[in-house]
Amino acid sequence: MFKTKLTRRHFLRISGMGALTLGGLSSFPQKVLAENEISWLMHPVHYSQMGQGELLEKLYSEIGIKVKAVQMPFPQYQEKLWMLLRQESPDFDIVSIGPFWMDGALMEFLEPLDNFMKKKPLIDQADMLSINTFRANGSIYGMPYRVGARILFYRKDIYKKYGLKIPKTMEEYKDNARFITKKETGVYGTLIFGEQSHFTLVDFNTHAYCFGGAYFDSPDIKKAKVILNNKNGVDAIKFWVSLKEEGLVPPGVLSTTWETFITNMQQGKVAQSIQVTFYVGPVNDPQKSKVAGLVDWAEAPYAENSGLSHGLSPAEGWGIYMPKASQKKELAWEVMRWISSPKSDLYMALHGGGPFRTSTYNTPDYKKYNPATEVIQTALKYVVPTWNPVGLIKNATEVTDKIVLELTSALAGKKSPKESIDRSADIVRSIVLG
Amino acid sequence: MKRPWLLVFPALTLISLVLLAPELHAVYLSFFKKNSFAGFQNYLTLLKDNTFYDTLWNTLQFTFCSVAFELALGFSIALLLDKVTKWKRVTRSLVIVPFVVTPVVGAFAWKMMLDVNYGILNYFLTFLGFPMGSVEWTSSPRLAMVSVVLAEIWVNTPFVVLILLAGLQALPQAPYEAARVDGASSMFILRKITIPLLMPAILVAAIFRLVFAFREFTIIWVMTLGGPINSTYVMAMDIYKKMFLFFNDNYSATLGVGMLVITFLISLPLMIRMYAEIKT
Repeated sequence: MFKTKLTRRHFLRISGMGALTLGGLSSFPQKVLAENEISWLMHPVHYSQMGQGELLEKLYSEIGIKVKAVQMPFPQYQEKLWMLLRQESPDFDIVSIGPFWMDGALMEFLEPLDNFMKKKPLIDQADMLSINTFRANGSIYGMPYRVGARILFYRKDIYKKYGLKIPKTMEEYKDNARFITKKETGVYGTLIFGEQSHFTLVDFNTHAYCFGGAYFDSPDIKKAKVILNNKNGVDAIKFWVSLKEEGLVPPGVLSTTWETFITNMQQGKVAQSIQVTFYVGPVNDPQKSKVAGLVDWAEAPYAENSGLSHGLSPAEGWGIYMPKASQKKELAWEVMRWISSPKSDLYMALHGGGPFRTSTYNTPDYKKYNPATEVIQTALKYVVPTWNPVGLIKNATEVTDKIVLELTSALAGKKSPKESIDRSADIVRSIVLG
Repeated sequence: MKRPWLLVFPALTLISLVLLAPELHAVYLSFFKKNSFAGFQNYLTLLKDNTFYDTLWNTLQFTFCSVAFELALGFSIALLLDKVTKWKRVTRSLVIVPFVVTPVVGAFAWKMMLDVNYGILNYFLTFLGFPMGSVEWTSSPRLAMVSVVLAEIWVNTPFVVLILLAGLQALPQAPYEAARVDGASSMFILRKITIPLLMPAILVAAIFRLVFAFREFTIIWVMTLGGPINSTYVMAMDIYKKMFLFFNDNYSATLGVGMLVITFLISLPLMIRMYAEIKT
């Protein structure tokens, strides 16, 4: 077939040219989006709540806008988002962001939505929950997309077996945890997070808020004082750490996170915990959970001397935002309007989403789908802004990282709870307030 | 051959662009602070930074423990594989499987195996009298480093095996025959013939592993996120966090330069030794 014998020199030349060619081809620009097409960076769970893209197909058939959904898991999602926003990349027209991990330093790269809302208002905005969570510096920057709150998950079969009452206070909650850990073999009374990630801060904050704790004494950060280590904060961290010290949580607390909670609850190893409403579905899934149908829900408890009459919950969930660098802002706004409509919210709610409209919670379909609906609606009345309201705290990521180190040190017994919370308050003071 | 450097010039140019240019840019960034020239300010901050020393200590522990075990284990496996005559290809393919598995997948597998409540390792320990959940591998500040070192050894020992096996197979047979004729024991042959002859390959493997282990990020990030309480928080993670999460480009570039210098310093003795071996 070949006149010349194939020598090593020929082979090296051919493979070198092949490598250069492939390298060159890969640097060709990617397929450009069509004129009526936008790009949306999202977490896989968002795509899942859109019926694996079915909702986006409906969107296209109704308003003629194609959405290219680009999925990325956490924490790679956060890195990608940070980089593309700081580079002012026009690659994405909509991005999903969770306020609980948002850094205020990125607000300058996001488009305020007020003008869009004036030109083409949202459909029935009064029906939308938590929209003020996305207000920063006087403007609305995002739309709620996946909203939740913290509620008490508990095993109703175990409660019934021992005649336990649903706890109203943290003290009753801990008493139940002690009782169950002692009496029910192989089952722990509760579960807390201790992994070295922001989820641990969210878990601690849940307890802190239920003790009446707070980070600042004023929503105006410029005038605020840090009150994280006041009496309520100290009581909260002592309580939180004591759950581990008394052996009321499963082993391995320093690597426990939301996935561990779901697994342990599904396996029947944990009897109760204060967790976010998004976990209702997985915990109650008969295909994956040994305790499907045996779990019930109630309002989060509150501490007795906190001055509260209901457990408070930090605002949870994700919102959708528009990068300033987007080249198709009008199209992006049309998509955001459509996605935040009542029928889209219901669709996503019935596919594992966290509804962001009161009307959705009141539909018979959703009440049938989610057995915790009434409890969630009550919990949403007592939601407070996260410690890091959108747009206010720059360097929030660094603060979170340092506070988590303090909290896990307390859990590991390396520092006393008081030392850890005092140090955490100092961190907030020095980094946030300067 | 006239002007042999002409043949390597294209490859050297490519390597310079891909490797040197980003490194030089990092050095440039390290002399700035928020777009203003800062001289050696970042380096002075580095020298006073307790986190830098903590991460350096963790990184050194991780590197030297994992490389020592990889060399010992890799050498042993290479010796065994060298003796295998039947099923050669199958055994060698099986040995390199951990190396071809994506590190993220390998790390997740180890994370699951070491899970305190559901991991298979703790399950096997129940047969030795340890109750399930009693050994907190990745949850214990003391055992977390052991856990990540185990995973690192599993992933990278095959690389050492490949290098040393290739070295073993290229060794001349004459010294071995002479030794056997003289009645030398296996231990003697191993200490006085195999290891000295194989030294260049051992040094190559050691240098590669030292450099890559010092830069390790993936396995530790997947398994422990640097925790618990920073017990597995290594330099590569600190650079990543400061760059991508805290937006401190200049300081993370300074850390990067520091890491480059330290990597060079710890591999220098081995490179000097390798140069001496080649010369002899």
